Amino acid sequence: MAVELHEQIALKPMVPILLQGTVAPSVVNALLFGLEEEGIPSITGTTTERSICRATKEIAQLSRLNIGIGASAQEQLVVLHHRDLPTEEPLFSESIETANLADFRRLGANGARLVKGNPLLFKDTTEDDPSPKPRQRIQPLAVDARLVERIVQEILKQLATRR
Amino acid sequence: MALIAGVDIGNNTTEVALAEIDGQGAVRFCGQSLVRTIGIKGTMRNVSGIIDALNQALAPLKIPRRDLAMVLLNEATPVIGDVAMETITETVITESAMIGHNPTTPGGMGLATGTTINLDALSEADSAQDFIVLVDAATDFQVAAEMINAATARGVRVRGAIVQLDDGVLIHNRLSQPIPIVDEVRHIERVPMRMPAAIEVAPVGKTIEKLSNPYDIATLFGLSPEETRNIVPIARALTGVRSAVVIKTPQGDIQERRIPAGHLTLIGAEATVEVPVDQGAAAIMDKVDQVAPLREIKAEAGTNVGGMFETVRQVMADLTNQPVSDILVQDIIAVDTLVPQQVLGNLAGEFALGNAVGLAAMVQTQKLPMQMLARKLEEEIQVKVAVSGVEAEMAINGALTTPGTKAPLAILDLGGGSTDASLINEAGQIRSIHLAGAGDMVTMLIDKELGLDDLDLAERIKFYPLAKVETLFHLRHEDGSVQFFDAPMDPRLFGRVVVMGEGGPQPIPLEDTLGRIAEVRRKAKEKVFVQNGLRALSRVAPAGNIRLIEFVALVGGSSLDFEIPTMLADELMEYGVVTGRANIRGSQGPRNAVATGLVLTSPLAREQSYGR
Repeated sequence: MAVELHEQIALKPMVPILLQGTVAPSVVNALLFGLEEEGIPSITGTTTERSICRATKEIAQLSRLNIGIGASAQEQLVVLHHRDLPTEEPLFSESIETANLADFRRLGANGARLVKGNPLLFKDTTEDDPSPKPRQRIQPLAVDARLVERIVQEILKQLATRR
Repeated sequence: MALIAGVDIGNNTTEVALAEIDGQGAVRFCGQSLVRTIGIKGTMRNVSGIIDALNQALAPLKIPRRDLAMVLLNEATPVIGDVAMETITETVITESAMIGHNPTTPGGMGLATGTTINLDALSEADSAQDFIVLVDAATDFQVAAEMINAATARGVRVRGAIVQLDDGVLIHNRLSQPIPIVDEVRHIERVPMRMPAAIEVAPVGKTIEKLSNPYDIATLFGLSPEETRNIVPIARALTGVRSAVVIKTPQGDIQERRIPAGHLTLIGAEATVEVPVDQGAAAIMDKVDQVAPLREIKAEAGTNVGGMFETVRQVMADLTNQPVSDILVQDIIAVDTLVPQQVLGNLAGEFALGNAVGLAAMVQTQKLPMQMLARKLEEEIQVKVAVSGVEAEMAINGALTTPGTKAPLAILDLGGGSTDASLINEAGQIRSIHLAGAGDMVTMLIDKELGLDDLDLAERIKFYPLAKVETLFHLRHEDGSVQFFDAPMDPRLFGRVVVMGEGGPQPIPLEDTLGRIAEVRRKAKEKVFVQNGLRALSRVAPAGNIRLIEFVALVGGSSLDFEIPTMLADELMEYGVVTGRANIRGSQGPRNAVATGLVLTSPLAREQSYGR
């Protein structure tokens, strides 16, 4: 593990990104972009540790921001770890084989948001829509004729009984 | 010695009080219970809830149900309330004239003006002009930055950028010359090209200063006094945002439009008045006071309020087997509020606060079919069941068991659908009133003002305090105290304002601060309960003067709220009234008043024998 990385993250508030093996540059960049858009500085380094979870947890403990990101070519895994979480339970993990670049950028952004204390991003939440829901306008319903017929009949029947 | 049970069937809960009454008529209470009411109150479906409540009260005493000498039901007051809201203004943009929103991370900062241009057209742009460039979602931020840099190098003056994706900071960091960038503009395709535009991004923690001021906009675009007048809604809509764009289009306009919300017709004993709903709550309530005592209120068909009136009358008609035409809306309460609405024709999901009026209505009829319910219950449990006593009288008799009270005592029953007040004077005479608007209205106000569109969540926000999740392991409560957890919280809670319900913290999916959510909650409670508390008490008070009441005891579900009793006590302190949550029999809190009253006023009990 690079000595320089340890020194840097102990001195300055930076999110360390640990790389094990040859991780695709597009994946690393996506992580970096996620952090950059959120305005949190980061620094990359390498590790030879077999378990990316353990390595990332260790680096998170050394980081002044208490957070670390790790990407492993061997395990095909990207994790976001926090100092206080159990080693084998990183906050988020994405498989390099199945996740896409947007997932990695989101993981990077979440690293930054964890530092800032902002709500995290999730795949299923439309985070591009933080505004309140629009006022509900009455939309004309697509109803089938039979249903209308039935309702009309029902109303007529009730009107008839009322008299 | 006779064992009797008083049963109070409320809209939400069914309560039982058990007591032994000896030969001299002395009452000794020995048990109680509380269950959810099953079905609408006064209907046959209530029976299973009553049986359940009786069983629960009897269980600790190990007494079988058949040993009961008598079950007393209250003559439940047939009051139903409901709530609705009319939005009376909305903001409409014609010809996309502005963008104003709060992306979490815009790029750069400052103010710039220029002509809107597509990124692709930048290569042919001339250098004599200032430009605001548009970057759509199809363009990678690195490519965009390169193209802007290349144009800048050729002498084209790119002064600002409007970006569709969340790439503002990334583009900004790659530019040779810093410019303000507004990002996350969802409908970028609606931005008109080749039009003069101004862009402003505020520094972190601040809001824009220039584009929210009509004279600054006039300065930037060289507007005439007449045009400046027209720009005011834009400036207003842009107040308080972090980043904004204003575009000057030939027909571009933004308007605050009034939505017709119909009239209310208030029919009093002596006069009939019409009041337009869009004049707001103050005007409506003024007229209500003017016309009082009200006989009936009518709302225009086709409006939200009109629809609500119909529903509530229909429910009551079904419940009591009366024709709808016999059921009248007898009281309303109106409250002004502001609701966030998406701006029509918006570019980035902007919203503006629209004015709205919240209304609660109340219908009351003569009698619920309680005798039928009593016969059914008697059949089921083989114990004598009687309907005795009017709800308001029973409640006040129960409330008088609160230590430290005496007549003249008023009770305020803060329920879900209605706020009720009763007063007993030294002579033992009781007066009571039912008014529209209570807990359900507070829930609606919270839901609408926060734009939640989730009544369950609004209900929880009303009932439980808030907290902010600050790290994965701790949260800070509304009062500033900090709570730590051994295990990490759900990451979905992180950084969020949460409501501390029984099932643990639940996230509120809003960007609003804890302070604002708490403010909305408090204001909603004040608007409804303080106004209604005063309204109700002055109707039952001698000569309409609240100062002549000595004691006010709060009962009903909403009196269990963690802040409503304090709000009312603060308000009533000015009238020199002792106000507090009732403590029925010195042990039950604000619960069980009616059930207790039923037992105390039963024929077997000697009057005033509860030994205070």
